[in-house]
Amino acid sequence: MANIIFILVCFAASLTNYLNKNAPLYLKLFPLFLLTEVVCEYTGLMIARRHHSNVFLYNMLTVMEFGFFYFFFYSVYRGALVKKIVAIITILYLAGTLFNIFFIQGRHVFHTYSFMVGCLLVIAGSIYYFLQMFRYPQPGSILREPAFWITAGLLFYYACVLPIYGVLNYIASISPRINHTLAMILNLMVYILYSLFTLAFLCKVNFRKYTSS
Amino acid sequence: MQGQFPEIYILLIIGSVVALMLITFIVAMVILYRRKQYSHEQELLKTQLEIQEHVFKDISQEIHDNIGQVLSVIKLTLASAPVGKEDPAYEYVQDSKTMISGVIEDISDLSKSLHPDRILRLGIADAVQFELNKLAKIGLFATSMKHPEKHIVLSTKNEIFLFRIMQEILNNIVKHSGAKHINVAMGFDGENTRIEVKDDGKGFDVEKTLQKSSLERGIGLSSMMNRTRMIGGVFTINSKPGFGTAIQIYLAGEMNTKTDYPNVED
Repeated sequence: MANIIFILVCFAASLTNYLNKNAPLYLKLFPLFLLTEVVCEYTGLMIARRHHSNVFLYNMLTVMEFGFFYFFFYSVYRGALVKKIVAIITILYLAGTLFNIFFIQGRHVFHTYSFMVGCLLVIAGSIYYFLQMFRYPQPGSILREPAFWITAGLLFYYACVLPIYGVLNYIASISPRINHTLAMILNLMVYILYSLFTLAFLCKVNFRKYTSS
Repeated sequence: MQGQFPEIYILLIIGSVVALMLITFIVAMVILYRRKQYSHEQELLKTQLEIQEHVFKDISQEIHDNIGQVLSVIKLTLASAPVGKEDPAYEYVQDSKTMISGVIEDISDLSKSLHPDRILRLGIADAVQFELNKLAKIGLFATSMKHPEKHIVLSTKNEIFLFRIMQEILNNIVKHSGAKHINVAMGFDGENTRIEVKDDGKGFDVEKTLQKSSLERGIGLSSMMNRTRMIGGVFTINSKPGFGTAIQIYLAGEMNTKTDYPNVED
């Protein structure tokens, strides 16, 4: 439930993106993405409470997440060639992941293989963003750059959860207690990720403008 | 309840490690990015200044070779015009000759101020003295300059940049200060070359001006500061409304006892 609260706070912060008419498309799509996350998380919670499997829902949710994050990288990268490569990788990855979910690992098992590939792609994408940032420095502070906070969050989250998700199916079958601990660690990572997303949405807001003197 | 303690510890440790790593990562990124931004700005500024020097050189050459020559020809033509003293056009021809002589002198001065090779040949002290003489000639300012007998030795690039800074300072005095006296002093304190420009103009609030956005305060002040920083110098301004302005530039350089000047080539 705490996850949903963090995502809801992040969703509320993301609505500030609409205050800026010049905000890039990825920032304007973020509230929709977060709303989908909230709905899916809540549905997943309800399904679990009824002792049904919510794995298929999370499989689909993670596919949507990766698709959105690759779109984010597509938006922040410079250069037509790099954008083209990201677009091709995204299509190939999404097609491969759906194939894996439906024909290899199955709908009722978490898609660990394609999830790990997805994590590696996000990590590589984040590293490329930072390299690009140093190659083409812009005037102003990076702390007021939403893409910096989003990429930092993605890099940390996926770098930390990659080894956990890789062995999730195996651990879940051997020890419920370790499974519980890992779930807590994963939740902690989610809190950090969405806190950084919240910072990304608020870093450009001029609070003085909206408070009376 | 007791069974949950190890899990909480694990969570706390992992959370702290991740948070620490994240903070370190962000701080490192900010520091590295600022350094990169600074070196990038310096590179841009350097390129801008090099282009500017090229443009100045071309303009100076064009003034000297083309406009100056044409005006001299016009002056000669006027001098050889068959107009006697009794001719009604005589007065006009003489006035035109005087005006053309004035224009030739002015554009010759302008050409000299712009040409970087000439600045290097003269040396910073004499080049600045030339600028002050130009101002004194207008009659609006009394100027004075103190500099040691020894020659200030700076690299070619630094010498040109310093001269452009001095030109900008004098330009600001002419445009904004309303001063009557301009004093320039150059000296060497054993480690640094110190250049001071003082005027008795209306002065200004330094803090306020520096706090203004670059658009409001114009590019003059920031350009002088950036140029000084680029050549490894320190730029300070002391001013108060009603009390004139004193600008000091400290540069790592030395005084040379030699009377010959450094080579024009770097």
